[in-house]
Amino acid sequence: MQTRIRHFALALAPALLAVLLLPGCGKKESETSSTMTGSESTGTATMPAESTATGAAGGGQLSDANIAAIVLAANDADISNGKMAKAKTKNSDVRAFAEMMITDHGSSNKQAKDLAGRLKLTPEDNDASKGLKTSADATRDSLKKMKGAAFDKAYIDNEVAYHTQVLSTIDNTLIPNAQNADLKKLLQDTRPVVSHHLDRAKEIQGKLGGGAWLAPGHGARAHRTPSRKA
Amino acid sequence: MPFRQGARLAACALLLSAAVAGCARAPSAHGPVTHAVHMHALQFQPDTTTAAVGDTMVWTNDDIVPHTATQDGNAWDTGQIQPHASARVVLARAGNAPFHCTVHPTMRGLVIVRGAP
Repeated sequence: MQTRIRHFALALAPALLAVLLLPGCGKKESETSSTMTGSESTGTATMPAESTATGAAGGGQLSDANIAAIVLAANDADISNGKMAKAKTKNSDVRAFAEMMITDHGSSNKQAKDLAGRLKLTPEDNDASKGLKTSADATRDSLKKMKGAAFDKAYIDNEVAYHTQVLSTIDNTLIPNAQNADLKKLLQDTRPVVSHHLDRAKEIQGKLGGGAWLAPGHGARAHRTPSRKA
Repeated sequence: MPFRQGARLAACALLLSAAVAGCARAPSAHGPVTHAVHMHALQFQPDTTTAAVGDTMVWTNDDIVPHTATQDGNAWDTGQIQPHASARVVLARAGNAPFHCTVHPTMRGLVIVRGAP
């Protein structure tokens, strides 16, 4: 029973992430200007009519400073999970994957920090970045209590769901909202890396026989039709 | 006289074709050549290079994560190449040299190394 509760908690984390990273999350009602398209759209989130590079996080729009904070938080979460997995797992595939997470997300963070420095952009925490940290901490707490094959499966299942959601967020929220060309390029360069991680995680998931209780992209709005800023 | 002109034309054509072949392929009587391979979107581009013993391979990392170019038998290894950096290897042995990135093992490439002329 306890195991099932843990699994449920882990399953919930990427869903929470999905909701937190949805464009419009935490926005004031006056800022709505929705242009959702496509018959598959099930979301009710809204995209801001315009975005400013220096807008405050509390103002509702994702500024470049907000996006930088989200990128750093997302990288930090996966680095921490990777470090835990590297220490706990005995599975060579899971270990290699964890090492790749530490290396790649560490490098991604360095690129983001270097760029922020060049642009004199101070990453600004916002609902999404804070929620990401909270959700990642909860996931890690659940994973900490697991071991052996159960841990490997839960870790990789979470990585599949996490990277599925991050990829969707990059495509639908971060790239369309980024104002600075260099930041946009960094996000575009990040995309194939995240996609590669997702493919590799799915491959390992298949070997471990995972995914039964945590379907990739199970988040409530993971399959929304992409909506872009006008 | 026409025979001489024909011979000259033929010689020029031969010279030209040899020059073109020399551009496409690195080995040559003109000495070692440098071959560039880019690491982009977690792929080696191009993924196959034909070179000669003594030629130099240069890998440039255009990605935001580190990569390596490591010969499958570890005959040579660039070590980690950080984003926006390059590393080079001089090809010492003839033969096919498949290589990969140790950080991202699905990244694969091949160098076909021909013996010195």
